[in-house]
Amino acid sequence: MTVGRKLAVGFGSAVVIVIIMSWIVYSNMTEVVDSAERLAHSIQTRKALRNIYINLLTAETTQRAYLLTGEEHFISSFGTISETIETNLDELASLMADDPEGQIRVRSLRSLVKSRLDRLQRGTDMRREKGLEASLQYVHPEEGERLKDQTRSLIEELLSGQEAVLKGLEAEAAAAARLTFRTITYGTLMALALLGTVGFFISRSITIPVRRLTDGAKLLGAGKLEHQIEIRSKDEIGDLGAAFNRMAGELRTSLQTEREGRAKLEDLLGAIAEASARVTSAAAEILAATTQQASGGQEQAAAVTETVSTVDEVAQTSDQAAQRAKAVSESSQRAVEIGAAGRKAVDSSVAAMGTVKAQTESIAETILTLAEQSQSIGEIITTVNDISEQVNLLALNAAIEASRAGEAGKGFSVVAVEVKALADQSKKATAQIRQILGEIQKGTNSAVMATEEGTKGVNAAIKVVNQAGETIRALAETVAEAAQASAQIAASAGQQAIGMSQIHQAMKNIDQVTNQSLASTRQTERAAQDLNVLAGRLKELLTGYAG
Amino acid sequence: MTRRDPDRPQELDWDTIRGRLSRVRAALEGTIEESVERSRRVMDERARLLAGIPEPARPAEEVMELVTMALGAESYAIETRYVREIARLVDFTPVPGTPAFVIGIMNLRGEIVAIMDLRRFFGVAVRGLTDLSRVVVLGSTRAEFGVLVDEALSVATLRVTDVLEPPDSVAGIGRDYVRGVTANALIILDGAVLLKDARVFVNQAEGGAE
Repeated sequence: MTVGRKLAVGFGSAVVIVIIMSWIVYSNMTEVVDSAERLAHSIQTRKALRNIYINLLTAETTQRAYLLTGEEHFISSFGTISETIETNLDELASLMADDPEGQIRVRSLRSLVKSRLDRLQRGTDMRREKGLEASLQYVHPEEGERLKDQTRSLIEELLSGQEAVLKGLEAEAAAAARLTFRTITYGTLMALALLGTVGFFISRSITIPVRRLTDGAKLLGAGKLEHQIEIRSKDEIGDLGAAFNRMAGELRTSLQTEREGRAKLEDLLGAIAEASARVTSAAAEILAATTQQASGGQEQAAAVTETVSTVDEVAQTSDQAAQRAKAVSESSQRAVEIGAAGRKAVDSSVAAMGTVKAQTESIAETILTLAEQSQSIGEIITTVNDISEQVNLLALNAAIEASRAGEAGKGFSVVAVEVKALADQSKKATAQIRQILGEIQKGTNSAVMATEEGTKGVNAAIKVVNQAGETIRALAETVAEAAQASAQIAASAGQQAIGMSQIHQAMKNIDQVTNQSLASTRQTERAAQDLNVLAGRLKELLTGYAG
Repeated sequence: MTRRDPDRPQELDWDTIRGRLSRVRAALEGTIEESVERSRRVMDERARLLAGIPEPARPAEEVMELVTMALGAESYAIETRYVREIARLVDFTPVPGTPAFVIGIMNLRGEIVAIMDLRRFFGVAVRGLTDLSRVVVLGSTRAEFGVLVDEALSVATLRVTDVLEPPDSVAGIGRDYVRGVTANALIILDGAVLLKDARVFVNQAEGGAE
């Protein structure tokens, strides 16, 4: 809650209390004023009654005086008085307008007064016309007294009614006054208490943070920048505290920066002091060095001469190097050509291997055909075997026939024996052929296997040859690179020769420069002395700062 | 690179191989051509042998012509005059109701011949039929019956004097059927007895069949 709002609450509550009290007082006062008005009304009424009574008395008095004296001047004012009474009655009627009972009474009073005045008028007229006696006769005390009493009692009655009204009004006014007094008294007390409490809390809520803020500000003023003001409220004072804290933070950082700057400055001054000391010693060293440099310059001149001769030797050597590099380049070129030839040879050997492979496979197929043909030979052999067996049997039968023929069959039996022998031989031959066929079969098997191995070997060889081709290609590339490198070497050797002559020229220039540098060394010596003096002054200046 | 691997086989000498091949070819062609020449040579040899002076003919009673045959593990022989021919055992039909040694009957060029198993007849160990098994058809004037043998060997001539009396212990064969034995353990069967007995058996068998 902001302070403004707190204050608004405080003042607002006071204003509310005042408004409440004012309203109560106002209503009471209105009541009092009302009763006062009614009081005035009542007083006027009484006054009017009293005036009527007095004027009536005056009229009676003047009539009586006239009656007694007969002098006209006594009743000259009678008309005026009766008019006045009429006016008073009208006034009374207007005053009693809101009281119907009073109106009735006023009407009866009016008739009474009229009759009384008429009677008085008649008495007067009688006096004037008939004389004193007649008028006295007329003015009978009883009749007059009765009217008089009636009038008086009626007026008294009206007065007493007004008296009662008056008393009631008095009591009302007193009650209103009391109420007003109480209201003012208790309202004031309550307002005091409430406002006191509210004021106390508001002032507390303002003064305590303000005091804390003040304390914090005092501490900050005393230089305790690390102090943090405690902020509990969220009002303007809280903002002020936060602003104070920020200010302290800013002050701290700027102070820190300043301290660091100072430390840096001190370091710088120290460094300058140290540097000036070093400058002093360095100036001394420079002095010594310049002396050495002077002698060194002379040595340098001698060395330059030596260098020139060395450079000439180097130029010769680089010429030789260039020639050799050229030779290397040429031989590398040849090596590259040889490498290409090797690559071609590898390619053709791969092709040849392919041919060998194809041929080996055709060998295998041929061998297979041979094996199949040997099988058909075997079939033929079976047939031959069968035939030989039949021939054998035929020979046997022939021999039997020959034998049975006896002497006549002798010659035939010899032929039969021969035929049998032939049959046996052919049988043996077929057995041999069969054996040989078996061997051919075995041989074919091993030949097929050998060709298979051969094919595998050729494949492996192709692989190996391809690898060799790769190797040769890599070798050729390397050799080509070497050729390029040696060409570059040759080129750079030529450049080197040019460079050497340039060096030769440069060395001459160096010789000149050395002489110039000797002269400048002396100037340097003088400058070093000046520097020494300046460094001393700087040191003196710095002693003032070095704290 | 020029160094030769000792383990590697010597390189082929293609010239040698070509030479060998041509020789083989020549040899093959030669055999065909030679066969005429060779057969002529054989013929000449044979002619010379035939042209030679023949041995003096032995008297008929002195020699006997025999057909030798193998039966089980032993060699048997029978005189040629009891043998009509030797035939292959191509096809035969077993005949029910015959003795065990009658295997069956076969058609020999239109003649029905009964076949006897001599091995069973003699009680020799029986081998299975092979492509060497033969039928020796017996009979003096006409084919009487066939005898199954394991192998027909040859036709041989034997001196009668060489034939010895058979020992009493000739294995399992009825003494009556054996004419004699030779020094090299050839058992000579008596064809006449065999024919007679067999004829009886076969007739019995035929009669039984009838």
